[in-house]
Amino acid sequence: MGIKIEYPTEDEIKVQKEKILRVALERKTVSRPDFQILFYNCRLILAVGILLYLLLLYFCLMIRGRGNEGYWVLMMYPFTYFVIYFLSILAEEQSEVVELKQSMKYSFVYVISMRMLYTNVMAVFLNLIMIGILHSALAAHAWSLAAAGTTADIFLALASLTIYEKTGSAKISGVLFLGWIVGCIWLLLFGQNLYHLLIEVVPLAVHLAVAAFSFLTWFEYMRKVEHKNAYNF
Amino acid sequence: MLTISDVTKCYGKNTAVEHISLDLDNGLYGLLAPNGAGKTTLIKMITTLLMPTSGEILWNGVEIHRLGAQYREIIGYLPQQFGYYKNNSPRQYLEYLAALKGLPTEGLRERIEEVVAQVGLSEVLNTKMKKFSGGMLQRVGIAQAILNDPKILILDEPTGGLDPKERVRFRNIISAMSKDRIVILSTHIVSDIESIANQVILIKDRQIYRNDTVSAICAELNGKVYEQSMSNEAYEAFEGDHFILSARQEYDGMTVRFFSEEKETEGRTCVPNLEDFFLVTFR
Amino acid sequence: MVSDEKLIRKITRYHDRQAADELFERYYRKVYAYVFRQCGERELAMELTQEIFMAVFQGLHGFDGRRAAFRTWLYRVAANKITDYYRSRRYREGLREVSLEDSEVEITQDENVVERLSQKETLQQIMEIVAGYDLMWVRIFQMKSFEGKTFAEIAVTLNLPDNTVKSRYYAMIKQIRKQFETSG
Repeated sequence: MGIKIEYPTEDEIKVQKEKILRVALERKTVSRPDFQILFYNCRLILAVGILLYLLLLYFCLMIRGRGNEGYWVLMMYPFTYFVIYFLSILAEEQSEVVELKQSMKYSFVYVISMRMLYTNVMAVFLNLIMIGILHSALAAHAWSLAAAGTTADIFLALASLTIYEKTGSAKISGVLFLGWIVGCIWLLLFGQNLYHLLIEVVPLAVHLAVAAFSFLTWFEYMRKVEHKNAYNF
Repeated sequence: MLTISDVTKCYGKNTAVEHISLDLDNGLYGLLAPNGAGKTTLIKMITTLLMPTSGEILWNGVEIHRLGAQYREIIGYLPQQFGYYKNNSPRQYLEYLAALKGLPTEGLRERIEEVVAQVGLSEVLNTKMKKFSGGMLQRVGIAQAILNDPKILILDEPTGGLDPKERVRFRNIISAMSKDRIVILSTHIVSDIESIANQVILIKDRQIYRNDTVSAICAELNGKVYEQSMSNEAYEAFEGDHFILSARQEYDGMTVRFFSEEKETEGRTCVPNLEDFFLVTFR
Repeated sequence: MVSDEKLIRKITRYHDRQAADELFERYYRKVYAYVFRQCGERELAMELTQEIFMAVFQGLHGFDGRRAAFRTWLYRVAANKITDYYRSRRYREGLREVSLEDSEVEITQDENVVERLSQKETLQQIMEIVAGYDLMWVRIFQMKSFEGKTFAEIAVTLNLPDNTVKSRYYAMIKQIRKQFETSG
């Protein structure tokens, strides 16, 4: 069909191949914006976050010995994360920088995801302090609770980021957060059996496995986000 | 080349734009339409902020969403409303955005000083932006858009708040830049682009109405735009019967520019300009 | 034979040189031929094929095998790059957009045009004319003339009615013939 094809010589093809393969197989350098950039202009937010966390600790001290500590701890697990999440997005939206940042190489969604990654890593450790304070009350189930709380925190965090990416709205995540609080209160009031089953009966190993799985999911999510944003070609 | 191929954007039952097809190569494109006509929607799709409902946008043959960060790296965008951090100086703001744009730190200092000089803000490089006037802020916005020397520069209503002198300077910068990159300037102010656009894209009723050079578009109105002088009193009556494009108060009456399909005996024909076409199209 | 998708995974995850080599060899000559048929010049065809493979291999990381087969995507990029090239040429020569008069569905003979596609000079002229059309029209022409697809197959690929595909193709043929008649 059509014109008679004049192919390149084998040598010429080889040269082309070298060039192309070199590019294709190059070790993709991942460049990420550093900590300072991710948390740019966040001093006030972090201050509020820390303050609120201290309030949570104070609350823990208050409820020590009054029973049902586990329910409260579980409920408070995602607090630190969500406070920073909402404040971050609110602040950026107030400054009207979201639109502009979305068009950057490191998009707004990416920056928020990375910021919340660091925040949640911190939160996991900070939450352990809560567990520590109430250790005596929680006794044998302290670690199960910590694992379960961490799992819940991670999945809620992932959900909040995915929701924001797909809808551009943090409000829906607010519903999620509220739902979590309501759910925990429900557990306290009506679902004591369920709590007992989940936290106290299910063995620690299972909780740790599920927590590990949640970390893997998180890892996979970050890998995808980084794919879209951070690879240099 | 940036190819917009049969792009439509719907929000539920409402259609913002439909069947938009454009090929953009180096040069300055003026995107002209009244407010709310779909310009910003189109711009947001080009800057990856929105995804088309159907159709696709390609950069050098590959879909822009597939290119992801690679594509965003080569665009510079000035949104209609862009924000900043009040306690930043232009230098700090630009340094921050440079990091988000993935620019290397090497040579960054000089580059920032360069673009700031281009928009005439060298003197306030280290002044907090909360003290800036609207025009100055706008110029910072332009500076950040060109910071990464983008291959596609997209400006959405960029001249708001600029005084006449600043507008001229702006036109000069943009015009010079359009020689070796794609510049898309979206506006409803005709004078912004009339003198510098290589091509004007008019959007009407959610579709592309015209996509042509300024002179070709204006030529469509040849012989239909008139100018006539009359007394103020005569103008009052005149106004009711005619499609007035502009009316200028003179020392001894009014000079009226109007549009007429039929041949007019009294007025003299004049060369139509883009403003005329805009008014006639979007009456 | 290892599937394209498997090779791509090896390349993107393990930087497997052999896999990259195989993917290249699998498609280079075919793509080159596809390009050559649409421009008739060796140097140009090599340059364009190079660009195509660069773009594709660079984009492997973002390649989503679920949405489309690699082969389909590869040819899409190739078709687009060729169109881009001809559009840049039109742009530089200041050729105006072709008017899309929706003429009657005259199923005219396209033999002349097909004949001219086998000569380099006229081939490029034709491609320049075709490049003035909307991207969807260009694809119709490319698929009919260089990919050996029937109208029915094209209609399915582009999600258009058979008649639309036919009428557009013949509208372009008509325009091409008109150009050759007037310029001789």
